[in-house]
Amino acid sequence: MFKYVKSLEYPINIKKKDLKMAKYIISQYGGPQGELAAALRYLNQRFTMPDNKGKALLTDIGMEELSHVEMICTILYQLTKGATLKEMKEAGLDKYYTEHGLDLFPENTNGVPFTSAYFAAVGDPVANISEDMAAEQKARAVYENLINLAEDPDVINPLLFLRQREIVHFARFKALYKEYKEKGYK
Amino acid sequence: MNGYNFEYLDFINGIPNNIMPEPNYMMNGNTNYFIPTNENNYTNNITSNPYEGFIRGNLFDNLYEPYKDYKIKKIDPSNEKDALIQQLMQYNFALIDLDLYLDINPNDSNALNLYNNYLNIKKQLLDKYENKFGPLDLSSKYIADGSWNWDNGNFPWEGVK
Repeated sequence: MFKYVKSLEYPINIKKKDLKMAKYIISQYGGPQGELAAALRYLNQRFTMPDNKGKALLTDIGMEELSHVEMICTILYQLTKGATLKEMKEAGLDKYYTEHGLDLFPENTNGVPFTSAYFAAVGDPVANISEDMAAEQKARAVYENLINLAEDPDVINPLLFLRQREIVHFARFKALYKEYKEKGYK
Repeated sequence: MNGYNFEYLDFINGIPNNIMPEPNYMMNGNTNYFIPTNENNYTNNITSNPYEGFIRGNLFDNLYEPYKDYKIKKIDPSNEKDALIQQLMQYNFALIDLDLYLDINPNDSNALNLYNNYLNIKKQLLDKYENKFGPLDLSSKYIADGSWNWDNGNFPWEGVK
């Protein structure tokens, strides 16, 4: 059972509209390395973990990733709030506008829509956890690319925070992986 | 005064008095937060400054990896409500990060003590916030307090108002 708390995990107060940046950051909403894929990947994998340690870790990281989905959505919302059609066109968001207006929609920066193909669920906890470790590294790399593209500190700070969380999650998955290998789980 | 207390008071003292909520609930003598016991503690790499851990997104000194020369900026609260929610976020974050650590290391007494201390602080900050600015979740004691208060205040994606 899930419970909503009316607070972000980290403060986001973007004062400057930036549609181009929104077009890049949307990949961390609906792209293969995005937060939505991470949240659903872990919350889906947790059911068949071989012990309670794995069930707890995947539940807790999956829950945190849901808070990151909310952070990414907040960034997108604040970056695009009040955008005019002219501004959307100039930023190359006219095609996005056609189907979604200013609503949020999970897709990557090229407009490829979110798909559950981004999950790993191969019936082997060691393989699944290895996938999770790789996912955290790939997400860290994407955050670094986004930080390189960003100029506004109001955008950069939450991206730095989210990048750092990938590093911590990776370390926790790595510890679980090591333990599962030692225990011979398949 | 131990390290936790010192660092935290440093942070509190950095907030201008006019927007800082009365800090007595954190500093009065009959509260016993920030007193981790030293028995069997085998984690020495948890930052003694939960605010720093929060703004950099990592409570663990040994895991912290800065990116290029980007500096972690202190987040300036713009009013009392903002200052209080940021304190709450800080302890929520510490609990999240300790939770993930404890999932893997469930017998670390230092981390267990910190978890208890931070949970205690978080509960008091939460009550203080909700009493003044409205409930943050549906199990709050202020939710149906004479009227329905769930839509009281803005939703978090709207930013500071």
